Amino acid sequence: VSTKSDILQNLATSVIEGNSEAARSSAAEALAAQLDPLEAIQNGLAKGLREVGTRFDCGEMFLMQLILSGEAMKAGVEILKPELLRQKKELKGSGTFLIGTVEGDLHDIGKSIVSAMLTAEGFDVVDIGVDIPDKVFVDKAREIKPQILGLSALMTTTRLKQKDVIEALNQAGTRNSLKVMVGGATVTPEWAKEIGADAYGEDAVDAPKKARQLLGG
Amino acid sequence: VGTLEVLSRDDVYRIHTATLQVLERTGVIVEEETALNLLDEAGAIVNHKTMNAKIPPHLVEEAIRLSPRTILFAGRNEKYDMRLERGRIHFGTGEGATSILDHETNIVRPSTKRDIANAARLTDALSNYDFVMPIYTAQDVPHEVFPLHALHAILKNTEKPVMVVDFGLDARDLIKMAGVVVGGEENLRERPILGMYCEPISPLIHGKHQTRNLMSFARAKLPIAYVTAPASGSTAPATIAGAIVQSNAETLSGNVIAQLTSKGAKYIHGSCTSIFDGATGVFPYGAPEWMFINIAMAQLGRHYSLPTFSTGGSSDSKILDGQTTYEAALTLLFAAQSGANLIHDTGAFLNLGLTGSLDLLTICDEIVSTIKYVLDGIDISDETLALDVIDKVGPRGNYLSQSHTLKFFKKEHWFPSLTDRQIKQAWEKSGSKDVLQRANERTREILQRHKPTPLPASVEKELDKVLGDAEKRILSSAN
Repeated sequence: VSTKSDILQNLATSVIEGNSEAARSSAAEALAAQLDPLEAIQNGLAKGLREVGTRFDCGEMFLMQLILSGEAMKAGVEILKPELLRQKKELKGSGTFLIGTVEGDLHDIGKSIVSAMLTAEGFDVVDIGVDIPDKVFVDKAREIKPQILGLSALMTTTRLKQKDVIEALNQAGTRNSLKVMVGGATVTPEWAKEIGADAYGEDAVDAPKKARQLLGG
Repeated sequence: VGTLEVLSRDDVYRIHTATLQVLERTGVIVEEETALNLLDEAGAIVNHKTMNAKIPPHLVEEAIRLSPRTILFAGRNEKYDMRLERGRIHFGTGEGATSILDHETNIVRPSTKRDIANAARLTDALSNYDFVMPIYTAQDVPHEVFPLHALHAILKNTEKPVMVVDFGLDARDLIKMAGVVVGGEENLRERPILGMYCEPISPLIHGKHQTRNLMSFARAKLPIAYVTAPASGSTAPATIAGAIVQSNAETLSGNVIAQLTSKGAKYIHGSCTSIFDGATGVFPYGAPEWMFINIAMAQLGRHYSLPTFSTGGSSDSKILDGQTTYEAALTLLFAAQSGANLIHDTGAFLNLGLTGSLDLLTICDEIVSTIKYVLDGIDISDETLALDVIDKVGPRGNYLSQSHTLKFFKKEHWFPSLTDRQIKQAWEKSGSKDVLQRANERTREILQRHKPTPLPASVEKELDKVLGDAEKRILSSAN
């Protein structure tokens, strides 16, 4: 019989190894052992993901592994979620995150990696794709009322669009109802400040941290 | 990966026959009577007064035939054993700098025994180095016995194969010292952990010391790179072809002496032929002529089915700068592409071979890492051609979260250890350091951390004793 600490360790390990199958079975085991689902996430799956983030930062793990770890985390959370809802518990600092790549920019991969990591961290991510016109961002934000809007741009020419989207939000009067995060290869903290964004995410490990900070988590 | 060639088959034939003609018509000076007698008995035309030996072609061809096609050059630890044969390329350091650009003070000062030890320890840790040479002459020990101190320092600080230079010392003392490490000189036949780099004097002289030591190593069946180092334009013809012919004649006649001394002597073919720089009178290490001759010499060595020796990874720049890195990278790349088995001087020198730098060793480790990666070639199989995963992902998808990616990316991709690829903000956050600063930090970190596997205490004691006895004997006879 596995002890509580064994189960938490297995959850973490499954995420570190990027093994979705193991994450699901360990999550099911946690439920069977009547572990607090919130604790199973925070001290199990998420602990594993934090470890992955640390190893990524010091060059021991790579993006491909990061994504698989994110998928494993997501797989585990899906098993735990019904019980979490039944107990009316919430993951702290999470919320709805609307994300897309700005108009004129077809780059998908960076944005998708960030989406995967945000999902893994418990955000409800709505990814509306690439080459998204300003108006579509504004309309979608009105519709789903995200806590955060994330704007991705890879090129110096398209990052100007991040500024346009923020202005469009201002004009529509929705700017103050959400936080805006920007990211992408040519984006810098200075640029984020200049265009009036609330935060800058450096990479897929940094973005969820910044998002949590914005939500006070 | 294909080997670079600069000579046609016809060129190789003409250089070979020209080499035979030089040895038969002009001959070589052999300043060692026993070697001269061996050549005389074997059929060379020997003038004992001038010490000139005119060597007929059949002796040269016979010596090539007697030479091993494959040579084991062992490490103290078996995992570092090198097999010198076609398709296997190894990198190691060099010999002879008199000063060091100190990695802590950034000042050039005379080199010491401790520098030799530190360089050996750093090379032991840097995974892309395959063999170790002394790099420095120690200015803090009596010069008559410096090579013994160099070997003493190296044997204690690395488990990798060691190549030494005699600098006029009787090589038998060096062999004795290496024998201590493998439990007796007789064991060196099976565990040849010591090789020698030995230079004849150009043009066409086998000096007394070099010849004696060549013969000692031939008898001990230890690897010997008998490598000439003329300067095209002063000690060799100004034409590249002529410099190659003379270099080839010098090294191959050395092999005749080696094989006459002991059949199957572990001779390694090659040269360190650069130019006489007409503007300055120096012997440059970053010279493209040298790169060119390296490729031609390796091609000749392959033609003879002999293990080959080459040069790359040093610079003429006085400081660590852009010239240092491009000269190091270009010379290493061409040497590696030539297919030579032993590439020496890697990371060894600045300043025309006079000054060493530990940071350069660290930088060249990274250059060699990229070169080894490319030389490994592309693995082609059904699985690596990846048709299934290409179909699975399809147009518009991505490969990031495919198990195929996870299975292969670490094996198939190259991972930098010194090269910067961070995004600019991250690079700034980590101090905006250039490659020289990063190399310096890595050098310091390794020297602080790395402890080579020590020799057993009894071996170390014996080694100290052999050094002490030899030193006493040599110094008392010198006075």
